[in-house]
Amino acid sequence: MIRLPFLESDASMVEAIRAGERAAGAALYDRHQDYVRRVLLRVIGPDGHLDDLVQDVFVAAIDAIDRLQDPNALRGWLAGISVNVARVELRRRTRGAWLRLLPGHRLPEQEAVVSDPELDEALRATYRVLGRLSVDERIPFALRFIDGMDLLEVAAACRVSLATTKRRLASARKKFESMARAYPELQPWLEGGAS
Amino acid sequence: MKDARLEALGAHIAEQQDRLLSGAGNSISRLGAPEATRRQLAQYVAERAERRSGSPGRFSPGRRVWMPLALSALLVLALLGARGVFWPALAFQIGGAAPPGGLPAWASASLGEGLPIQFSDGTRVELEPAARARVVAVGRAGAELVLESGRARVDVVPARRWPGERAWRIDSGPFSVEVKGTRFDVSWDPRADEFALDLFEGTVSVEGCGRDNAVKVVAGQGVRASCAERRWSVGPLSELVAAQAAAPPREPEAPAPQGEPGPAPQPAVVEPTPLPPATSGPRPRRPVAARSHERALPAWSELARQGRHVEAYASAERAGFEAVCERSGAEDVLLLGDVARLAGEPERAARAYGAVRRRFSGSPSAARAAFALGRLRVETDRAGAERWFDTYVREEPSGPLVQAAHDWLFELAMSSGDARRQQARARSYLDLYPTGAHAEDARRLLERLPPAR
Repeated sequence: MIRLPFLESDASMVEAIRAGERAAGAALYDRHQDYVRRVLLRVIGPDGHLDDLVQDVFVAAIDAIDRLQDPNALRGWLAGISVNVARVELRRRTRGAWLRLLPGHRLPEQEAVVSDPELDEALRATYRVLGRLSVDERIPFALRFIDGMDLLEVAAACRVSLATTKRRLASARKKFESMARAYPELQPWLEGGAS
Repeated sequence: MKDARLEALGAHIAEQQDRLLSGAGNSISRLGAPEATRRQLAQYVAERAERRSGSPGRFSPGRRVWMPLALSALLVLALLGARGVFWPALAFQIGGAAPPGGLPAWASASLGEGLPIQFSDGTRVELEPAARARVVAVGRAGAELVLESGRARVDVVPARRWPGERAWRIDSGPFSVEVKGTRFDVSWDPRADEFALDLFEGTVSVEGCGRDNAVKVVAGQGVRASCAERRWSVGPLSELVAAQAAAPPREPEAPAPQGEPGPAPQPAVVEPTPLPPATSGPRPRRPVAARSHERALPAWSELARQGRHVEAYASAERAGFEAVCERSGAEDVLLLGDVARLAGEPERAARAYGAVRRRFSGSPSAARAAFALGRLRVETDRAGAERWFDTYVREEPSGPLVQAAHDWLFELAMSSGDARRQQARARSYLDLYPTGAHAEDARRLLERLPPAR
C-alpha cells in the first residue's frame, strides 16, 4: 500500500475525495475499514455478508462526503453511517422474513450465519437474544456493551439525544436480562461467575 | 444483571470477534477481496468527481457507450473474481401474483383501486387507481420500470450495489428517475404533459426532456416539469405544494389560437430552469398531475400515525397547513407540529406549536406545545430550549413529560460550561430523580466539582 503524503490526515483525505483523487478512495478504505467492520460486526453479529455491508458504508460515505462538516470528525461520522447501514440491513431482514411467507417466491440470498468453531455458545446466544430486541434497542446495546463505546459516542453514532440513548439502553438491558434467562449458555454471565 | 456483568459478557464477545477480524484465516471476511474493494472505491471516487463536474466527455456519445460497458465489465470481475457466486435477479409479483409471461410485464390499476408491484428485496411500487406501468428489466439489485400514466408510490429498499450494476430506474414520458434507497411519489400525465415527483427519503436523480445533466433531488424536495411548457422546477415540497395550491383551477379544454401564446406562465416555483426552445409556443400552465390524485391520498394524520412524516407533511400542506393550525383541535395541531418537525420543517413546526400555545392557553396541550418547542430548539437555540422546558415544568409539574423535560434541562446545563448552573441542575435533578437516566452523571459531577460559591 502506498501512503501518499497529502493523505496523512483525515482532513486532507476528505479534501482529496472531494477533489476526485482516486488514491483517496483507497486510502479511506485502508485507514477505516477495520473500524467500520468492527462497528458493523458488533451490531449485526457474525454474518457472511459483512463485506457487502462494509462496501455499502464506504460507497454511502463517498456519496455523502460533501455533507461532512468537520473532516477531522471522519471516524465518528463513519460510525454513524455504519450504524445506519446496519439498521437498514436489520430492517431488510425483517422485511425479508415477511416476504418469505409469500408462496412461490424466489428469494434473494439467504443470510449466511458463519458457523465458526471459534465462536462460543455465549456469543451465539447473545445475538439470538439481540435478534429479539427492536432495532432501536439492539444497536445502542451492542455499541455500549459489546463495542464498549461510551454513552456520548453511542448517542452520536445513533444520532439521538443522550437521554434517549439512556432510555433505550435501559429498556434494552431490561429485556436482554429477561430473555437471556432462557439460554443456559448465558447463565454463568447472568450469575456473574463467568469471565 | 448489572452493567459490570453485561460489560464482561460484551468484552468476551468482542474478544472473539476481534480475534476473527485480525486472524490470518479471517472467517468473517473470507468472502471479501480487500484489494478489489480498494480498486472499486478508488474508481468510484474518480467517477463521482466526473459526474459532479459534468464534464462534456462523460455525456458524449462515445462515453455513453463505453461507460456502461466498462462498469459492467467491472461488475463481472467483482462478481466472478471476488465472490465467485451467482446472484439471481430480483423476483416480483404484480397484485400478489407472479407475472404470467416474461418481460416487459404490464401492470394496470383499475379505476377503483391501486395495484402493488412487490419485489423480492422488499421494494414496493404501488400504482394508484388508473395508473399503468411496465416492468421492463430486473437485475440483482434494481429494476427498470416505465410509468405510462398516473401516479405511483415508490418505496425502494437500499441494496448492495456496485457502481455499474443495474440501479432502480423509473422512466415516465421524457423523464427518467434514477433511485438509490428512497421513498417518493411520481406521476406522469401524458395528456397534460406534466411530470411530478415528491421525494420523502433519500436522493434521486431526474433527467430528460432536453436537459444535459441529471438533477439531483434530496429528501423534502420535489420536481414539477413539463416539456411542452419548457418548465422545470426543483424545490422544497412545501413551496411546490403551496404554488400548486395557488395555481388557477384547470381551464376547460379550449386551446389557444394557433400561433398565439397562451396566458403568461406563472413565475416558476423554485429555481426555474428554462429548457431549450420548443418547436411550438408555450401552452397555458395547468395544475400538475398530482392534483387530480389528491383524493386518493390518505389523510395527513393517517400518514403521520404510520410514521411517514415527510409524506404526511406534504399532504398537510396540500390540505391547508394554516387552516389546520387555526381550526383543528389541540391534539391535531400538536400532531401537525410533530409532523413538520420530523419532516425537517422546524419553522412550520414552531408555527403549529405556537398556534396551540395561543389558542389553548393554560391547557395541558399548551404545556405539551411548550415541551415540543423546547425539543425543537435544542440544537439551534439552547437558551430558548431551556426556557421552553422550564415553561413546561412550571405549567405541568405533574405532567407525563416532566421527567423528560428535566432530562433535557440537565443535558442543556451540562453543555453550558457554567459550573454554578451545572451544580444547581445536578442537585435538583438528584432530588427529583435519584434513579433517573442522568442520576449517575449528576452524582459524578457533584463529586468532581468544587462547591459553587
